[in-house]
Order: sequence, then structure tokens, then C-alpha cells
Amino acid sequence: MAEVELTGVKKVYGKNVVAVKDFNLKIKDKEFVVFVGPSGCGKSTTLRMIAGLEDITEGTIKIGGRVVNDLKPKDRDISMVFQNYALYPNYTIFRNIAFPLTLMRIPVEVPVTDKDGNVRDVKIKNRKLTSQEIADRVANAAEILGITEYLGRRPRELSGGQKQRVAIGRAMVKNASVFLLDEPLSNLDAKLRSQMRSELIELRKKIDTTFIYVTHDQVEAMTLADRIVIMKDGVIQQVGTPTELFDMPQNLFVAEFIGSPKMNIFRTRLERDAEGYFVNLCGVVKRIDGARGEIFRKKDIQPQDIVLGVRPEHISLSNHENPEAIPCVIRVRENMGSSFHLHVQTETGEELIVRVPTAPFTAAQVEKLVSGTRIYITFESGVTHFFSAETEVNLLSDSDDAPVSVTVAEENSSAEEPRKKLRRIS
Amino acid sequence: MMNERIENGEVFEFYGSETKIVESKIEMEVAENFTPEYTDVFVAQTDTLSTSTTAVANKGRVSQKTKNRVVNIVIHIVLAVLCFVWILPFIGIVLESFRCESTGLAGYLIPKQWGFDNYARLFTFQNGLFLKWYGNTFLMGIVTAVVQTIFQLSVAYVLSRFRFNGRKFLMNLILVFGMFPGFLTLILLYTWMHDWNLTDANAPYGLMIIYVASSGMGYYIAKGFFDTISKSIDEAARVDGATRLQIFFKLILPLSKPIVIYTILMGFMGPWGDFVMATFMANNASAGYNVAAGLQWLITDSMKNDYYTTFCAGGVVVAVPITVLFLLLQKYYVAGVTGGAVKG
Amino acid sequence: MKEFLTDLTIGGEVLPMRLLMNFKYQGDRYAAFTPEYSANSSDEEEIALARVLKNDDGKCYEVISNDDGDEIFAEFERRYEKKISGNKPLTTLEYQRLNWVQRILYKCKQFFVGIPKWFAKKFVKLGLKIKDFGISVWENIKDIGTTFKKGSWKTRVSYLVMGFGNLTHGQWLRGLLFFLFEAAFILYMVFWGGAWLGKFGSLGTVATIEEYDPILDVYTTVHVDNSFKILLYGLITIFFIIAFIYTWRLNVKQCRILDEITASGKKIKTSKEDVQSLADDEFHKTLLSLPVFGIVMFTILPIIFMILVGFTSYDYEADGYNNLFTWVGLENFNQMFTFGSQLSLAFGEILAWTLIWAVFATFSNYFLGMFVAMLINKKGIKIKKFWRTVLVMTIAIPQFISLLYVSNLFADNGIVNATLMNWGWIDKPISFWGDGTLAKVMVLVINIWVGIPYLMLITTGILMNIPQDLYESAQIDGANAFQQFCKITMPYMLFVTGPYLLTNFVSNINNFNVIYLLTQGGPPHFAWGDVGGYIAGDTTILITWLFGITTGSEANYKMASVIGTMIFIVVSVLSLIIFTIMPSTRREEDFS
Repeated sequence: MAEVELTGVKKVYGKNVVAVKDFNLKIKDKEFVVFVGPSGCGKSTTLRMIAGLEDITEGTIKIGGRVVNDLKPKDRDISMVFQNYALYPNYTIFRNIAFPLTLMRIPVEVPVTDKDGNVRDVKIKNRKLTSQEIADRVANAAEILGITEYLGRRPRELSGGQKQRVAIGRAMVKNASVFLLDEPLSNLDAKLRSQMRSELIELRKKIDTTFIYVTHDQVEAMTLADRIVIMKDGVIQQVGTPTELFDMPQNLFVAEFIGSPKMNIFRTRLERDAEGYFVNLCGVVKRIDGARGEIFRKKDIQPQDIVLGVRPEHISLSNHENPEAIPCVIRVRENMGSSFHLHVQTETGEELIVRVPTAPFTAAQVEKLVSGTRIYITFESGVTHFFSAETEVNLLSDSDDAPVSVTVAEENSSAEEPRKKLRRIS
Repeated sequence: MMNERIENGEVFEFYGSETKIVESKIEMEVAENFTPEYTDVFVAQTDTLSTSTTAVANKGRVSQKTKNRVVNIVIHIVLAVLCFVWILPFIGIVLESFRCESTGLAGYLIPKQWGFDNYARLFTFQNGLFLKWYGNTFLMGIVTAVVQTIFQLSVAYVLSRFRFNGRKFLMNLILVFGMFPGFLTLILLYTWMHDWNLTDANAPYGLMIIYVASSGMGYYIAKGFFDTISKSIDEAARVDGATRLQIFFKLILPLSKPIVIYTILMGFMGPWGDFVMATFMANNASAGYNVAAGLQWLITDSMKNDYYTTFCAGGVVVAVPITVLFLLLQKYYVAGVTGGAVKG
Repeated sequence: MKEFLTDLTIGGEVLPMRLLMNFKYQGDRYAAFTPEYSANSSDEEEIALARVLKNDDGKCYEVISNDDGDEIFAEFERRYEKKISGNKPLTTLEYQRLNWVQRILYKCKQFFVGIPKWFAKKFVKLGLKIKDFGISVWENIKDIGTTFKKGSWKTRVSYLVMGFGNLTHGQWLRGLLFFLFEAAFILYMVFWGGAWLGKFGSLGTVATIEEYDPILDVYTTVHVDNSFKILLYGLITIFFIIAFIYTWRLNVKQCRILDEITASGKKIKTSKEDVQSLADDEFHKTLLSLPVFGIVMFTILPIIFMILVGFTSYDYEADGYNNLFTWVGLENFNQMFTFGSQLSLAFGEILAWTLIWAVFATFSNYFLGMFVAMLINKKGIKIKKFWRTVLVMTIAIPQFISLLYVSNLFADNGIVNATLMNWGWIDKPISFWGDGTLAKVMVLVINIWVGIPYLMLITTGILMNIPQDLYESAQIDGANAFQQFCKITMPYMLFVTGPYLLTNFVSNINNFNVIYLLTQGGPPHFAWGDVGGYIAGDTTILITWLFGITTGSEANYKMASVIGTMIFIVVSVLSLIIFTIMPSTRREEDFS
């Protein structure tokens, strides 16, 4: 029901601690946008700024065309689901869901009559909801979420999943135009999480509104989002549909963040000769031809140090006859049921993960596919990613407007030492 | 795990049969969100090793059992003795309050002649002066309980939930000025109150003001409790459209019942035990005493011979209602006191 | 109860929580406490401005600190570490290889080597604070200037007539309040404040004059100046002036903001909205106003007044009414600390006894209370509820009743002596309260009697919280009961109740009730003579001395003030030291 527009939004804590830096994003009406990134990337701060729980240091936030910078959360026409549910422990589930409604005022037209009883004018007055209306709305939400039978209970009597539903219900009844969710599933166990994930997809069809969803889990982001906003250090790294992010990551960070198991990366050098581009990969020369070579030629990329990325599922087993096959040794085999994750080490010492489907192997083959076995692998062509070693930007990327400043905000670049000491926690 | 659960301000049933923690009326969701990972490690460790220990334990089981029983009997005896020592003075006060044959100190405990003479003397002493003290103290107790609770909870809530300029300054100020012996200020406050005719016979009114005025300084325990209530509850309520005032009264206070009751209890009990300020402010005008100052006066050297047993009777009259009230509300007291001790 | 936090392991390197607080967010995230931690910890103030940002996996939270000094400390620490690099701390493994003697020596060395560093740090912090203060004053002055230069005429008028800007911008409520405040201030200063302030320097010149009454033909004494009132109202006037300056500055600032809002075309908050926000965003002002007013008037003002008294000659003779008192500078302190004088002798000995008393009272109660709690907690003990209730009941009974009774129990003709004589164990009464040493022992013992139930109560709760698996694991490792107590119970208890121990220690320094109700500070110690108009006794601690001095017929207020100030200094210095040492003993991860 409303667009959300963030222009040059910046958040600074205290004097010079930058949490979010120059955040520009336009969220379309009824779009489901997911903010994803590692801990501390500013995604939650951004969400909380939209909600009005944090002040905005610079920039403007518009909801439905209206600048909301100075509005209180309750006046912003938003509702929010919190990570730890934030249910009111002293209230029953019914009162929890009804709480926003009891505080709500809805405008009604009151006719102004003169002495003779003629309607002169219509005045807008605010009135409270009647208990009938409140009960109806709560019943409706409870119905959708399947929590009708718990309405008389108190939050402590519910399981985590039920609590999360109540929290969603409380956010739903307001009929707000923007629905904010701050890591709503991260307190649930893995099984429940995937169940709630699919329920959210269902729910989204019923609640026809704009969703902004914050998570650190790329799987949630990929499954739920219309568009993903991937952030790091308070800076947007890439905005795009799940497929775009997966197929064409703008930089190394995005490439490594999206996809599981993680993308394998190698430091190597991009070379060029008369025939075209090639790289030296684990002692094997791999030529870059086809569409990718074409793009390189077109962009006239100079030979340089690069980081090459290959997703584990884009590596396949081969044999010594293949000139591009790389010999390596299996270190660990993880059986995932439908596939194996093979942790292998090449002769040049690179370690990488290969994901091969279980299906083609016979039992005898599987028995041999264990630690210590020597195998050959090849990289499928057309799906490798090339990043500049210097800027970490995807060399294939053609968009110049990508917000790929991976460098840390300059305010923070001064003290190297503590940063070295205190690396990211993941 | 256990500490996780008690945390979050639960009132744990202190006098339950075993060291069992009863689910409180307050539910804090956060607790379950932070189940520490290490538990698994511990469980695993214990599991693997438990077999070997059972084997070891089996060997000396019989002797171990008898040994345990002996130890437990000894402990029971020790506890009985301890309890006797602790309770003895109170039995003594009660017994002496019924002693009719003499009024001064006696070298024995059991009265030779029983009766209610001392109680009669107590209530008729100087035309019911004791009742006046009792009334004074009761009035002070009620007023202090109400106002002090409002002040302390207000300050605690603000310092727990608001971030404003000067917050830290205020906290430091309270900390630093709390280190001065509060008694010192009485010299000025007496003169001050004297100007308003709130000392001597009117001392209870002056005292009330003094007890209450600075009571905001004792915000620590309540703040500690408020801090355990997840802040996202506030945030959710703000998004839902509640004002800070509504959040305080509709959400935080109902959630903080133990600490509210604790604060009221402490406020009420304060004046009953206060001796220094009451004596100082009353300045020898016996009509302005509270029970502590009054009863102490009864056993000053010049009065002791005539009124020692009366003092005992007074002690009983004061102690019984307070003790009953205290025992009724003790679980809240325990919650407050333990919380306070841990928060410092 | 405390939320325990684990130290954070990053890349195999263990970072204690404290360290994390000392570093600054540098664009890369670190720190990982639960939100409870940052919210509940008593260390909260250390990270007062730190904020929990978000979580990653439900446990790891990020905190960024913007405390200004932190970066400088970190830098300072690095540099300092290099300078005294001879004192490079051992790694954990190196430390573990030492034997116990070496370990103790190492710890001692670390402690003493750390002292200058600690002071240096505090010094730097103080310097920074002063610098910040100076800068902020200068910024304020600059801002006042620029506001005047650039401000509208309404703003300029507001420099003289407070609230004018608000009034003309439609904020009549704020404007009116400003205006009334200014009016009240001017009236007060003209009629009263100026006069009080004028005499503040001398504290009055004429106490009484004889006035001739021509009708009755007598001379009557008329009181003119009152030093006490001059000191008090002078002080209040100073408070008022400070408040006025602050309000005036606020007024100017608001005018500037109003100008800015008008220029940007935004809406100005109406008075109605102002009132509404007092229940919402500004709710803290509503809640704090009365309590803080009470604290300022009834604690801060009196304390400052009493400190000032220490620099005057105020006592029962120079009572400020019949005889004026005046400023005497440091004379009272001089008197107190002139080496060899009776006063300084008494002070030294009373201070020593106060500290001994406080240490004994705190730790004896602590350990014995814990011991009793453990006895009751032990598995297989029946009627736990009964044992506890009996002990807890004694907390409920007002102390003055039990203490006064016990004091008489041990009187020369009290029950204890009478019984002992009856049994024929002694011939003449033991003078429990008449002999200095015996009285001290009695006071300490009876204090244990008073304190155990309380400590039992506190420690029971905490003891029950010690994770049982710690004990189970220790049993499996073969630790006996005593070892379990030393290795698990004690460290845990000390960690959890550390801050409580400190507060308890401080309150024991000021434990008036037990001493006074039992002994009134006696038996008199005549060797000191009359110290400050009061015969102090063997069990007198500073606070009862103070009481004696101020309530006696020869009340010596100036000395009381000096003693009070000394108590403050002792208490604050001890607290500071203990607080600084304490965090280093907190090894939370052991118990989490």
C-alpha cells in the first residue's frame, strides 16, 4: 500500500561511529524486500530507522510519499515484528494482538448540523475502535495464523513458533502499509524455521502490503525476497533479485555471501595472449572463451591479479584424460543425502569444496570416494566468476553504478590495529 | 541453565521443599532465546564419563550411606542449636514482657509472676504516649511507602529506559553523594525543619519529608529489575502506538510486581527501625518520637529500672505486626534483596 | 540475577569482555554480548553510550562504543605497553608452566607494575574530561555570540527578556515559564539574594546590638546577622544563579532552534504538543522532576553546606546566632591532623578500628552466612523451610529492639552474668561492655548474629543458581566437598556478589545501629580526652563519633564536618580501589 524511499540515509552513533552510510533505496509498493548481511552491517539499524526506533542522522525516509523523519513510530503507518517476539507477558494472547487496536484512533466523518437539523458540513473526528471491531479484527488475524484456540492463554504458555505467530498477528491487525520484520525466524530451531518460512510466503499472499525483512540468513533471503539488499559495513553491496545475486554477484563479498556451501575462491592472474584470455588454475591452464571471453575482449580488460570464484556445484568430477582436469585428494567427505560435499586439496595446496550429486555413483564407487582418494575435477565453463584482486569488483559486471565501495567508511580507516585484533565474528 | 531461568526477575519460591524453581508469573521470553551452546558439551562429557563413576561409587556405597546419615544428623543438631541461639533473645523479650514481679533488669528469663501488667503500663504510659509513637511511626511508614515507591520507581524507570543528556552525570552524582554519611546533613535539615515548625513534637512530619525527599537515590534495585525486562517490549509498544506513560503503567509496572511490592515493603519498614534521625529530629520532645526513639528512651539509664519490662512489651507490640507482614511478603523481599545483592 | 557473558574467541584469540569495551568500533564489528548483558550489567556505565546493534545467531550481539576516551586509551595502552615492555605479560601457557610461588609472584608483580599505569590512565581520563569541559564552555560562548549575530530580532530581544522568542513563535507555555523564571530570579536577587551573597564572604559582621527602648527605658538585645543563615542562603543563591545561567543558555539555544525551524519552513511544536510530550518522549522529565528536586534540596545542598562548615568556626559557642562564626580556612583540618595531638591520635585510632570493624563485619557475616546457607541447602536436610523461616524472622524484627535487648542481656546485671554466677562459673559479673577489648569482640560477635540471616538469605538464592553440572563434572574429576567449595562455590560467589561485598563494606563503615545501640560507642577511652566535645570510647567508629559530637551539649559542628568529609574520602577512595581491582578478578567465562 505504500512505497518506501530512502535517500542518502546515514546513521552515526555518538560522534563518529558510522553504522549506516549513504543508503539509497526505493522499495516499490507491495514488494518483499530482504536486507541481508553479516552481523553489524547496518541492516537492522536501517530497519529501525524506518520504524522510527532510531533517529536518522542524515538523509530522508519517505513512506507513501510522506517524509517520516520526525514522526513517531506510531504515526508512520508501519507495523513491526521483533526477533524475540516482544510479546507483553502480562497480557493474554487476545490482549496482545488487540493492544495496538486499543490505542488506535480511526477517523470518522461527523456531520455538523445547524439549528434546523440541516447538515452544514462534515468534520473529521478520531474515534476509538469499539470492542466489537477489535474482537473481529483479532479473530480474523487469529484465523489466518491458526492461533484462535490460544487466544485465552498467556505468552509463556506458547511455543516459540506460536509466539512468533502471535507477534505477526499483532503486527497484522493494524493494517499498516509497511510490514517490518527484524530477524523474525532466528530464534526458532531449524525445522520450525523452514516451516515458518513457507508459512510466511503463504501469509504474504494474504497480507497485501509492503514487506521489509531483515535477516542474516541468506537462505531466508533467497527464498522469501522479491529483491535482496545485501549490505556490509553500512554500505549496500548489491540490490537485485535472488537470481541476479546468485548469477552475477557484483563483488567478491556478495559472491561469497550468497550460496551454500560457500563459493570457492582462488587468487590467480588473468593473462592474455593472441588467442584470448586464460588463467593458470592450480597448475592447469584454463582458457576463457565463449561469452565471458567476449565480454572481456569488449571491455578490454587488462591482464591483472584476480580472484576467481567457482561455486561448489559448478565443479564436476573428471579423469586424467581431460587436459583441464585438476588432480586433487579428498580430505573430508560429507554425505548430505542427495549430494556429497567433498573437501579436496589440490597439488598446489588450494583447498576447495566440490558438491556432486549422489545419484550417479554406485555403492562400490561411493565406498572409494573417501578421504585420501585421488580424484580429478574440472570447472564448468561459463559459470566462473572473476573479481579484480584490487577492488574485488566483478570484472564481468557491466553496470558502473554498482555501489561497490567495499572499502570501509573513511571515518573508520584510521586505527588499523584494533581492527586486526578484532575481526568479524560469524 | 538455572541461572538463566532465575534471571529475568522471577520470584523463585524460596521456601519450596527443595531447591526447586517455580515458574513465576512473569514470563521473559528472552531467556529461552539464549540457551547457551556449551550445555551440549557438558552433557556429552558427563554422559561418557558417568558409567565409570557409577562403578567407582558402587564400591563404597554402604559406608558412604551411613557416613552421609551421620553427617546429616550432625547438621540437623547444629541447625537446631543455631536456630535456638537466634530465636532466644526474641523468646526472652516475650517472656520478660509478661514478667510482673519486677520492672527492671532481672537475672533470669522465666517470669515468676505472669500477667499483662507491662502491656497495661505501656499503653497508659504518660497518657498513652506509646500509642502516639506508634501512630507517628505508622503514619510515617504509610507516607514513606507511598511516596518513596513513586520516587524510586520513577527514577529507576527513567534511568533504565531513557537515554538523555546528563543521565550519566545524574547517576554519578547520586553515587558520589551517596558516599557521604547522610547523618551529617541532619544538622542543617534540623535547623531548616525547625524554621517550618516540623521538628520536636512535630518531628514525624519533618522526618517524613526527609525520608522521602532523597529516596530517589535508592533506585538501584528497581533499575536492576527493570533492566531485565526486554527493551523490545518497549519498542513493540511504541510501534503499536503506546506513549511512554502508557508503557510504564500498562506494561512495565505490572511486570515488576515483585519489585514494586519490595519497594513498598522497604518504605513501610524504614521508619520502624530508624533510630538516629528520629532521635535527632525529635530533640528530646517525647511526643515527636517514633517507636525506636521512644522505646530506647525507656531504657536509658535513668528510666531502665522502672521501664525495662515495659520496653520488652513495647518491643513485642512493634515486632509482631511487622514480622507477620514481612513473613507474608517475604518472597518479594527475597527477590529484591537477592537482585540487589547481585547487582550491587 | 546476573547474565553471564562469555569472553569472545576470535580466531583463537580470547578477548575478555572488558577489553571489548575498551575498544572502539572501527568499521569492523566485534564484541558479542547478549542484549541482557549490556542492559543489566553493573558495568553498564562503562559502556554507557555503547549500543547493542543487532544479532546474528541469537547470541552474538554487536556493541559499538562511542565513548570518546576509549580510542585514546587503547592508543595510550599500546604506547605504554611498549615503553614498559620489560613487563610483557605471559601467555596463558607460559603462566601455567609456573609453579604456585612463581604464579603468586607474577600476579603481585603484575599488580604493582599496573598501578602507575592505572593512575596514568585515570590521569589521562581526567585531563580529557577537563579538556572536553573547556571546549564545551568555549563552544557555548561562541554559540551565544553567533546566535546573537545571526539571530532574528526576536532572538536578540530574548537575550534580555527570556522567553520572548518562544512567546512570539507561539510557544506560549515555554515562553511564559522562561519569563516567570527570569522575573522570579530578578526579584529574588534584588530583595534577598544580593544581600545574602554580599555577606557570604564574611558570614556576617555584627551578631547582636543593644537597642535602646525609650519608652521602657531598657536596652534590648537585637540579633542582626546570622552566620548560619548567611552561609545557607548564600549557598542557595549560588545554586539559583547557576540555575539561572543554565536556563538563560537554554533560552538562547531554543531561540536559535526556533529561528532555524522558521527558516526551513517546518512546523513549530505547539504548547499542547509540549504538554503531550511530557507523557511520551519527555516523560523522563516528568518522572524525574520531583525526585531530583528532592535530592538536590535534601541531599546535595545540605552536604555541600556541611562540607563548607568544615572551613568555618561553627560550634556550640560560635553558633552563628549569638556569636557569629566565620571562615577559618583549613584550620579545622590542621587541628585534626596535627601530629601528636589528642584529636589526631583519636582520629587515627578510631579510623583504624572503623576499618577493622568494617572488614571483620563484612567478611565474617559473608562466610558464616554462606556456611549456614550451605548447611540448609545440603541434600537430605529436612524441614529446610522451617530453618530458613526461623532465621528470616529475625530480619523482620526491627534491629533496635533486638539490639537493645541483647545489649541488656549482657549488662553487668543482665541475664547472662546472673546465670553464669548462679551456676557458679564466675564470682563477679563479667563487664562485657566495660572492657574495651571485650566490648569490641562482643560487638563483632553480635554483629554476626545480626548479619547471618540476611546473608543466608542472599547466598541461598545465588548458591542455588550455580549450575549443577559444574559440581557433577567436578565430582567426576574426583574433587571432594572442600575442593568443590574452593574451586567452584567460592569463585562463583565472589564473582556474583563482588559488588554487594563492596556496598556492604561501605555500609558497615557507616553502621551506626549496631555500635550505638549496643555500646553507645563506649566504654569511654579517657586517654584521648575530650575529643571534639565528646568522650569517645573504644568501640566508637567514625559515624558514632560524628553523632556524639553533634548531639552533645558542646556540639562541635566544624569537627563533625571534618569527620564527615574524612568518612567520605575514606569510603570513596576504598570504593575506587576495590572497583578498579574487582573486574580483573571477574573471570566470567568460568561460570557461564
